[in-house]
Amino acid sequence: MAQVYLFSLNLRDDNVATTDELKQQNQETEKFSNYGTYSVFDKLELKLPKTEIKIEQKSENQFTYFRKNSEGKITNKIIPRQGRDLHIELAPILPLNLPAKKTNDLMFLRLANPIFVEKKSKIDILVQFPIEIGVYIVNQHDNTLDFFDCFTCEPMHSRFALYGTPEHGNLCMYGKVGMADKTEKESYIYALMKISISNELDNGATVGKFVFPVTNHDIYYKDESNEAHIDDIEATLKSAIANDIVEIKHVEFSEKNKDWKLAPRSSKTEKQTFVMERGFD
Amino acid sequence: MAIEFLDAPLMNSDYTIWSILVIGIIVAVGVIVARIARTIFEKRFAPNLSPDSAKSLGKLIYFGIIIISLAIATTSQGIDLGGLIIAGGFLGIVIGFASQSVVSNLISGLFLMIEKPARQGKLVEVPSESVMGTLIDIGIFSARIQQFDGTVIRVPNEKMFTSNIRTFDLSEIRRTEMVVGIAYKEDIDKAISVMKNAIRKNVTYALIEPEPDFWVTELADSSVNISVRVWHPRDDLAEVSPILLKVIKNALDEAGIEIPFPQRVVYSSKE
Repeated sequence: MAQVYLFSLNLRDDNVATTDELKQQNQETEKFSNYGTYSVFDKLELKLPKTEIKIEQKSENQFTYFRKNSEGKITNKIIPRQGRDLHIELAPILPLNLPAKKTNDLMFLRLANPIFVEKKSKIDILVQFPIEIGVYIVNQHDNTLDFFDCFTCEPMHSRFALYGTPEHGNLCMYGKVGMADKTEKESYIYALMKISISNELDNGATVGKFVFPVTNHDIYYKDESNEAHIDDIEATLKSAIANDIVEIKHVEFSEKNKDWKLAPRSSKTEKQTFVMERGFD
Repeated sequence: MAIEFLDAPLMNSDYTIWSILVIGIIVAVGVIVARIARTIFEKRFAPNLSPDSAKSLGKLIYFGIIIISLAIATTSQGIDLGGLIIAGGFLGIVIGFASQSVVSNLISGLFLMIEKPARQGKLVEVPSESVMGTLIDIGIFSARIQQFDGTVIRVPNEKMFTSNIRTFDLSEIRRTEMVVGIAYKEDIDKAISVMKNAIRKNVTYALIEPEPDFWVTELADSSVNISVRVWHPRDDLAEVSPILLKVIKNALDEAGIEIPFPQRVVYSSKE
């Protein structure tokens, strides 16, 4: 019978790549714009950590879009509009687009502090999952959402890593993450993710990373509090012929029906499960 | 009158203008059929195959049908191919000497199509020819490679077949290597730490894992040379290589670490 532990984590990892400046900014979360749908009449200004967005109506049929990102780079776009108001949605999205879409769907989560799992036991941990923020435009003909722009409030999350050897490895998006608790406030940078780790091995094991496909994961958010949560995963440590492996399974977010709003998703589902055959330390 | 003219023997041989015309018509029909077959193949079946296989099979179908139609045309008009083969044998020896490289390229092209040492649309380097770029295709006689400056280089198949070919598409990542020299008085570990942090922060496409490697490779005349090896996604050499040295130089300058230039101390004797 497996022992079950539920971690009540108040751990906060200071080694995670979050700058003091960002922390300070996030303490002032109430000053930032919320996730959700906005109507643009003449002008709309959105403010997020290290990022500002301005949308203005320049003429009867034209809006201009301006974004200054966390690295000071400016993006300008024109949105033609025929005699109707412009509606946009700001929502957390999967971190697969920046700096460029290179990986099919794999995410590499490196735990800032590896976690030890006793033999024949199961633990649940809550981690920070890096996100990007997407801007969608509500289509004026059928009200569907068209992906328009995306950015990140933490550029250090737009990085790559290789899972495996250079000869046979898989290119993944990378995020160094720490443990989180439910009062997590860095909601423009992280979504929360629950990872259930089962150790079926005959010995305890230290887990330092999780690699899994994310295109089948949905992100949910609350537009009043800006909390974001992504679908969970189950990681099972097993013994295979040559080495120990981790089988990763996608699990739907259990509270998704409780006041959470589903964020739009523009990526196509690639895989449902993944087996980490090339180590997990 | 016209029909009689067509039936007249051609230059005292057994063949008539009509028979030559029939051969021409059959071959022309064969060419049309070959083109239709190739088009159908390209639209229906090629999308399910790799680009290389699709192109090779397309050529096989096209030229195969034309050769078959030529054979049908000649035999239907009673042309003895045995005689042609004997005559062709002698002619072949003569032409063979004259067109040795053409035949060599043709045969090499066939082997390249079978072996597929590089895939179309992928980055390829032929070091002996000093050519690097995207492989457009391998034709019957030559391969075409588009270089980074947009120009296209035609490399004869024989040279492609006998040369070392460097490809990059087996692995999802590749490595860029550069050498940086620091002054002898500087702390090597500090310099490595400064470079590592700068790369992590400013070179977006540099992989975090595996992290960059730093090897002290040489105690040179004026500097301690450190080899910097950075892994990045396979197709993003242009995102890393041009900025890597700039990022390192700026970081070392900021940290007050000297990058020396060659200098020679000359002592002059008083006598």
